[in-house]
Amino acid sequence: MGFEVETAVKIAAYTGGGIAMGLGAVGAAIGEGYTAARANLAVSRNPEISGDIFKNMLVGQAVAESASIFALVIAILLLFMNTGTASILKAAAFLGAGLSMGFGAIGSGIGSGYPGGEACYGISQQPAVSSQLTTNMLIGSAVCQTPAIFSMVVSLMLIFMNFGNAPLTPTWAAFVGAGLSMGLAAIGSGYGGGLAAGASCEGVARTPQSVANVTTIMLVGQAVAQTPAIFGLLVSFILMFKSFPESSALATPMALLGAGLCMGFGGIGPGIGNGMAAEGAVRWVARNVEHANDLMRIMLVGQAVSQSTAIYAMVVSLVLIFVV
Amino acid sequence: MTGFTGLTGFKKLKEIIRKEVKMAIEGAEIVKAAGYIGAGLAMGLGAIGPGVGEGMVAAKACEAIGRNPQEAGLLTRTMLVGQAVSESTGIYSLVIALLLLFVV
Repeated sequence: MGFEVETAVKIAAYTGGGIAMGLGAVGAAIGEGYTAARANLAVSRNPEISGDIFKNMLVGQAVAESASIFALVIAILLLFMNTGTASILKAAAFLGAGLSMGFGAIGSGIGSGYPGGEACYGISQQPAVSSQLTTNMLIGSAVCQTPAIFSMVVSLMLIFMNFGNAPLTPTWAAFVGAGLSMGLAAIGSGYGGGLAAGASCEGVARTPQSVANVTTIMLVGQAVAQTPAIFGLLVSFILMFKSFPESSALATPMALLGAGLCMGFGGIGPGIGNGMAAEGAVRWVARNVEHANDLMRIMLVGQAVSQSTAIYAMVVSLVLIFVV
Repeated sequence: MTGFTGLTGFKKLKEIIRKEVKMAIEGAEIVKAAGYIGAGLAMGLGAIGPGVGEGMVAAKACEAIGRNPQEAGLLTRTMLVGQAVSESTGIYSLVIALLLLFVV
């Protein structure tokens, strides 16, 4: 067995590819399963409309699938791409790319399952508005996919960018941390956005004339729910593009790795929480359209408080990158 | 580079990695490094719970106002108090993270 630098790079590429596809398959499968379950309930409730319901289910599942298609693309790139000049730094970048896409596809996959399922069930309740339900489902799941798209962007940057002669330490930790920061933070935002989209489809099915208010508050709520993923993206970019001076201490790379872990995990909870708040607001706007403004206000206040720990996590991350 | 087997191959790998990675590792350094990782994990994991919990509170507050819009003021106040209590563990995590970064 001869160990060379190229071997280490290949090891990291294959590990990263495995992580990317392995984790990336989790979310989409769960989400599509939820959609199919609700579609089954819908068909049992209203068998004459089963054609429409079936079509809607397939469309909804296709959107949820897209997150794992991104993961498949990244995995194939990592497995088969010609890596050019090998360096241990490239190995760290490939590992970070795999982590970013793998974790990032989980939340979006699960989240996109909710609007699909609720739209199918809503068609069984109110077949007349089925086209409006499909529209709402597509809008909601599209916003829900954005964290997976951010993760894919970070993955592609880590795979393809030429980092020149950046010093090995501590930059290896910056790349792995960048992957963790984006990947983990995308979980919460993807799932939370999906909750809001699901509630919007349920609301439109229940009260079709409230569709404008419901869609507005869904989009506002989802936008706030995406912000933890944006924090994760921001920390990821800082870790990738800031030039770190060469350092032989152990503390510096560990600080950068800690920054990635901090922002990554810190984005999960607030993303889910913001999504729950948006879900509650959307669901009740459909039932009580006159008080849409009150509901929007309390949703935003509640989401702002729920966001606070994501802000603490970002502050600690930035301190770890810039101050220590 | 062929012809290296077993132990020689491993020693060669160690040499290559040492050439690439000049890290002076001493006791104090490891402690500092562990402190940074700990700070990251403390704040990161600690942010999950309050995020989810406060979100649940906000969702139920939206439902409550949807059912009873006249009581919006009272409901908002109750929501904020509940969220503040839920925040407390997040604050503990922040304190520990800052301690690990600057004091320890």
